[in-house]
Amino acid sequence: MKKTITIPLGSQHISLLEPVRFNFSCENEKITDVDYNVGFVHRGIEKACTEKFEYKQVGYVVARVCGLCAITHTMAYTLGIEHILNIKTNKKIDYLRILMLELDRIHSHLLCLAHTAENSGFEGMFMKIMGDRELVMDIQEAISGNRVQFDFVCIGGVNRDISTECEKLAFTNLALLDKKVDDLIGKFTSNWSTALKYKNIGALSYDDAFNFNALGPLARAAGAAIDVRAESSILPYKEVGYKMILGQNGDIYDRNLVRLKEIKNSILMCQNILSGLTEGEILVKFKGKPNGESFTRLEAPRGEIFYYLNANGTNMLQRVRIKTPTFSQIPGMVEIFKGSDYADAPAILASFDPCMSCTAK
Amino acid sequence: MIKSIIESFSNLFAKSETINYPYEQIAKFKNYRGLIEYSADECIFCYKCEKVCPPDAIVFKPTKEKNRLYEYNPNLCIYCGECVRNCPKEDLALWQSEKKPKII
Amino acid sequence: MLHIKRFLKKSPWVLHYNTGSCNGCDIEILACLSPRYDLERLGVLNTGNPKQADIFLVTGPLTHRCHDRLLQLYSQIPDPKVVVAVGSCTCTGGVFKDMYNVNNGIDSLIPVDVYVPGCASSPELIMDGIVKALEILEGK
Repeated sequence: MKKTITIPLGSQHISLLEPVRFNFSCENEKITDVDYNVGFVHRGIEKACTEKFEYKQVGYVVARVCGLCAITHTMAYTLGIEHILNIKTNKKIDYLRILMLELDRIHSHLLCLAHTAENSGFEGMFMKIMGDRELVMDIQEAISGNRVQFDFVCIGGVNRDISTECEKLAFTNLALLDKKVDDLIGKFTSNWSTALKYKNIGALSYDDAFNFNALGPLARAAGAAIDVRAESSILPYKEVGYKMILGQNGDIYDRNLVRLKEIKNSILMCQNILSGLTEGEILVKFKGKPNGESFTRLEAPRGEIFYYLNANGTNMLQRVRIKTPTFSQIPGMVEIFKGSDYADAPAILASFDPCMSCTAK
Repeated sequence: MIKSIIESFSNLFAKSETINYPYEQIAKFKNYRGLIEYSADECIFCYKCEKVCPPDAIVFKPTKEKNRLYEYNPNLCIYCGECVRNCPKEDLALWQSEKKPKII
Repeated sequence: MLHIKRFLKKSPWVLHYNTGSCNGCDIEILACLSPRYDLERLGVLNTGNPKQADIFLVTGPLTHRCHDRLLQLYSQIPDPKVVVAVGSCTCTGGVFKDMYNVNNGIDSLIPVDVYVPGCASSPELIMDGIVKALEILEGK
């Protein structure tokens, strides 16, 4: 006899960092339908950016949309405003900006991997990855003065220069982390409880990745070459050694591997940037108020982030539109949940690395 | 197998990664973004910091005297340092110290 | 000095709820459980069940949607309980102050014992806050 049971997950749950509610309809062990509710953290930032804050302050406000990809939000906004104001930045500013973006990507990916390990019940792995993550957090704190919210980028440049001590610390920590990530790749390819049992679970096929508009590591694990870093030339990613990393099957195993290899690539990029840094100004002076509109795309740790800005020559902006990666990943997530076991639900959720404060804004 | 045994033995004798915090102090990096500090003697009362602060943590209250009274709310501050960067007498009138904010 | 031995007699469990923060403080709470800071030294254990919790860690400026959930969680925690507001936006609203869907801090709804400022609060500050919460819990 078939009987449908509804199991709620959230809004408060130990495996969830942020409030989101899922209603799973299950038949025996299989999930047949998912109902989701993501609007718990809606604060109204887009509206406040046009009514309460001046355009110079908005950069600090949009950083608080999401703490995990804070620098990406500020960066996308700043690039948009610089396009409207016609500010040309020099090579050093671009390099410092990419450095922080990539450090942010490393720490976000490591957190996601730790979370996946925790949700599969491997507490020791969680501790190990979180311990390794402190190496990146130290570099971030040394460069920007804060661990999570950097407030590093401002209109026309960056707020702080990087000192020789920071450079030294970054080199040693990145080299250490590189070895530890190699070790992690070994564990994520050979260990049963974190990796091998997740083969062919939560798989998103190549066609579905396009049909459901998947982005970021999710699409790349399915073999779809979608990455703003390769498509756009707004920041000089190709100079510093960017390489596209693709998976094959799009299951949890592949997603973890893509994330790990991206961390390796990011470490390489950071090392290239640090050894290729030139002398130069860190702030370009500008005058005038923004008038016009701009569209900006940038690769956040979870996928493409999109900003639309419209300014009318006053201190206040007319419209700020933010489209975040998790928002477009939710249809794909629902499709994957259907037909998989309920016991795998937290692991699938963690491997998506959803960011609800991005989605609801 | 041998590799993991060697690793676990070396971990046994390695230094503990945990900082015993309330007893030991955590070493902070240079230029840590802590409390905003102010000196009324040096201030020229241009109110630029009040204007640029995103959450309005710095407020100049009107008083009976000529100059307004500086008020700062560390529980509202987001420690972005924008006020310090806009101050015409940076490091003298307004600066970002390395002290951590007080817990009430 | 700090009477840590007295605290260790009790093992307070922590319940964490996000009422609309930016995730920054939440990942710092997770970093507190990591080997570098290791909150479990102080007997603190992260739990998902409000009925077993003693310390309530709240982050975020309290959106209207989370209003009822926070009240429900608070009323389900047995006495004695301590509420710790982590982050500037939880204390007063922070940057989200006066946005249309925000209640300007959780103390508009439930009584708060410890205010931890910072955006995002570093693990050091969160640990200070929890040590203070343990002191208050001792007195309650």
